[in-house]
Formats: sequence, C-alpha cells, structure tokens
Amino acid sequence: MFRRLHPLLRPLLLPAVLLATGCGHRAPGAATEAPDGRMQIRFQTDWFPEPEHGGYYQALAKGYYAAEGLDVQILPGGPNSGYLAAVATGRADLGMGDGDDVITAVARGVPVKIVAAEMEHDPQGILFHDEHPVRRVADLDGRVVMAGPASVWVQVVQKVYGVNFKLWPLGGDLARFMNDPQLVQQCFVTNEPYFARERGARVGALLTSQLCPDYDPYRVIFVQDDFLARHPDAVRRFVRASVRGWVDYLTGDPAPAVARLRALRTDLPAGLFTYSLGALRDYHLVLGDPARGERAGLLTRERLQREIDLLRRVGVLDRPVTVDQVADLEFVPPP
Amino acid sequence: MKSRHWVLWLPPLLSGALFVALWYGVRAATGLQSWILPTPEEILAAAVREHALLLRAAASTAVGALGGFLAAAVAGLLLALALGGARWLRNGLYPWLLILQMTPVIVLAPIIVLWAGPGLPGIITVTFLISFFPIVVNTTQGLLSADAHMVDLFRMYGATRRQELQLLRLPGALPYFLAGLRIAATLAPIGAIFGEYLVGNAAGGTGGLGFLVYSYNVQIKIPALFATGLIGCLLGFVFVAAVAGLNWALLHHWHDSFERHDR
Repeated sequence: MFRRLHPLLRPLLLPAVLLATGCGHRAPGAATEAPDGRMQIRFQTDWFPEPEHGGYYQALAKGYYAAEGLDVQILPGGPNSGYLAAVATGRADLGMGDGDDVITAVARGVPVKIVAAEMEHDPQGILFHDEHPVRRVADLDGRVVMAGPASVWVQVVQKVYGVNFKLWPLGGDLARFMNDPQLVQQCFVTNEPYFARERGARVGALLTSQLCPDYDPYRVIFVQDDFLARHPDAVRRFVRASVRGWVDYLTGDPAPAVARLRALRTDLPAGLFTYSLGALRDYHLVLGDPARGERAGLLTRERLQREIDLLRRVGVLDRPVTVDQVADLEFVPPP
Repeated sequence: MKSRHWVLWLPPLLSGALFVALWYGVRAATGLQSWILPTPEEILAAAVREHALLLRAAASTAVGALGGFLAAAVAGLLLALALGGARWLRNGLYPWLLILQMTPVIVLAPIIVLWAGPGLPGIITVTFLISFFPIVVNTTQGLLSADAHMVDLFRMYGATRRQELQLLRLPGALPYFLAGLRIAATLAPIGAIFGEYLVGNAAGGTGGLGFLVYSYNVQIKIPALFATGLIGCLLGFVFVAAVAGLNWALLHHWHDSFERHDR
C-alpha cells in the first residue's frame, strides 16, 4: 500500500514527534466522557479509510464499543498523517499501524506501547507478473523491485538473505508495473493485486513473511503511555471490542463495516471490498493459523523479541530496546 | 472590433486543434492502452462517469483553497502594511520571509501535520504558505512605490502619516495588492490539491482532488486522473476570474490600466 510513499520523510517524523510530545491538542492521558456517560476514545488509523480497517468499523457499527461503555471515534489517516505522532501528542488516544514503526519509535523515546496485534501477519508483500514469477527470495536476485527504500523487508532481503536487486523508489502508481512484465512491486496483498487483475494483468502476490520467513512482523494496536497508565481498563475494553469486531468482520457478516467504509470511500469499487476481505481470510492475516497457536489479537513475547532482534540486526533499530519497553502483553484478550 | 476578436481567438484554437490531432496521432501510432495515454474523449468520458465524485472533491478542494487564500490575503496585507511602514522592520523580517518561502513545503509536511493537524487545517496551512508570499511582496512594493513628488506634496501641506497612508499609499498600492492576489489565486487551488496530497485525510468521506490522485492512481484509472487535472485547472480559472472581477470592481473607474481600453 502507498502509505509508505514518502519514506524519505520518515526520519524527519520521529525527531518531530519527540519535539512536539507534550504539546498535543488534549493533555495526553486525559479522557472525556460523552453525554451518556460513555468514555470517549479517539482512535487513529494509518491511512484513508479502507477495507483493511474493517474490524474497527465492524465493532463500531455493531455496537461492540458501545457495549464496552466506549464512545469511539475513528480518525482517518493519510499521507504524512503521522499516526504515531497523533497518539504520542494526545491528538488521539490509541492508534494502529506497522509494528516495526512502533518498536522503532519506542526505541527513540516516543511514549507509546503496543497492547495488541491488529494482524498476526503484515499484509505487505510483493506483486509480480505470472510470466516472471517470484517463488522464493532468491528469485529476486538481479530483478528490478519497486519498493519503499526505507522498508524493513528490503533491508532484510539484502542484509539477512544476501539477495541483491535493483531498487526503484515506490511511486503511487501501478502503471509502470503494468507496463513491464519483469517488474516486481511492493504491495499490500489485500489491495493492489485486485486492481492489476481488474486491468487484465495476470499477477501473483507473495507476503514478505512468505518470502523471508525470518521476518514476520505484526500490525499492532498501540496506546499513549500516560493514557495507558490512567485508563488501563478502557484500553482493555477497547482491545476486546476491536478484536471482537475483527473476528466478526472476517467470520460473520461484514456488511455493517462495508456499508460504513463505502460511505466514506465512494471512490472505491465494491469489488475491492470483497477481494480484500477474501485476502485477509485466505492469507490468515488477522486470525492467524490456529495450528501454530495464533489467534486474533495475540502478541507473544517470543515473536516480539525476534522482531526486535531482526530490526537490530539490519540496523533499523540503532539502540537496544526490550519487549517490555515496547509492549504490554496484559491486554490481549484470553481465547 | 468583431474581426479583431477572431484574430485573438484563432491562433489558440488552431494550436489546440493541432495539439489534439497530435495526441490522437501518437496514440494511434504507438497503440498505447488507454491507461497509459488516454485520448481526450476518454478523459471527457471519465469526467462524465466520475462527475459526482469529481464535483464533490472539487468542492472540498475549493474550501481548502479559499481558506488558505483568504488567510494569505489578510495576513499578507497586514504584514505588508507593517513592512511598508518601517524600514527597520523590512530589513529585519524580509530575509526570514524569503527563508519561509524557499523552504520546500514537502519537507514541512510532517511538521504541518504535527502542529496544524491533518486534514483541512493542514491543507489550509499548505495553501497559505504557497500563496502568501506574492501578496506580501507585491503589496509592500506598492506601498513603497508612491510617487515621490506626491509624498513631498503631502508632507509640504503637513499631512499626517495616517493621511499619507490612507489617501496616497494605500490607493497606490491597491493595484499591486490585486496583482499579488491574482498570482495567489492561481497558486491557491494548486496549493490546496498539493496540501490534500501531502496532509489530507479525507475525513467524513470528503477527500478533495489531491486525495483522488491517490485513489485513481492505485486503481489505474488514468483517464479519471487526467479528468482530475482538468477539474483542478477549471477550479484555478474560477479563482482567477473571481480576482479579475474584484480587480475590475475596484479599479475600473479610476485606474489607468482600465481607462486605456476606452481611448
């Protein structure tokens, strides 16, 4: 997905977060009550509303948040939305996003903590033409790959697997990919393959975690530290309702979430929502693989440690950080 | 008079027709698909097909553009009054204004989100930053360009500073201010679209034209992308026409630039 469009700007973001922490719009950690006594929660997403946010909209539409005594407002993200900064500065109370980003931010002193997995496996992957397929990481050797230059998976492929490819910076388009059967492009497996196929291309997609089994990051729900300290119960209820929303979105009738999302994204075709849901299910992105002990929302100490170790190894994390600094595992709902 | 109009209209019509012919020619010669090089009719068809979305996006962009434009006009005028009034202020602030103008907005984007917030406040900030400078520079120049003889005359008759400003410098600066506004009017819609592209969040389902760039791009709806550019261009003309109207209303009965047409 193109939320990774301006990777060059990312290094600017974290120092800016550090500078601005404490000058948010509402004092971090403070909370307000809705007129009906429900606690107001502002939840920041990482991109424009999209099918990959379905679980939260399902929880909202089906009243799961209300049932937990929460009045949740979902704040849309966008380019440069600074979803980490929004939560760190108190513009939002909780947020969702890339696990790697949150871990890196914590290591640099941004006061946030991971409290649950949004997705057991990151939908980030690669898109390729069927006539020049990629089955394993070695197949990328010598190819041209369009990806975010700062993407962790690129570093993993190059530094851990020793595979070298020519890197083109990722633009916001699929046009070059469509025009060049050799080209490989970073994608969300839940998104770009649909549009490429709609335009008649025969394409395949592979998760980066299928490509590099050592690299299997979470997508996460995270919270501002002060808010967590003051309202642990609200965080627990938010996580519980969100996970319930995700499970219902993927195993029940997704229509309530889809209706809300389609009202917000009149620019997207109905087919994308169906495709995206299918991909979320087929790749076991949210619910995980029960045979491996995975389930919606679950975070394990071992996997977080592996993620931290790998980030250290490829040089993304330039200082040590512990699992307990980046995450609080107490909030994952029991099975 | 009528025949003179034809002389004005014919060359751009001819060059436009030639350009469109060349366009179709390239498409026919290369056999490129419509998602690489759409024809003008495919773009118009996309504009018609997507008109509901495009119009809503244009309205949303217009709000951001207008907000940034008005803020720039007010702040630009006030700052120009201060700069035009005091040499020390002019010398002290001008270099900083230049620095602000020359800092690429794209680098400021994360900071704008941090300080102004994503969505409309950020979009208005980007528009403001892009359209503010020409207004300040032009208006300051106008305030300083009062005829030296007239200034001497005012001072000889013991006019106060306030009278000098009100009766001489401000009316003299008005055409300069309006020229600054005209430049800002071409920049404001571009600034708003750029702002949406940089810091927009399409809150409440009202993403502007800059948001549609993301949407159409990932969907490979290239004719619709061209149509988005077309609508953005039209929006720019609306802004420029509005300022041209203001220009006429404020100047036509006294300023030389209009009187000449009557001679």
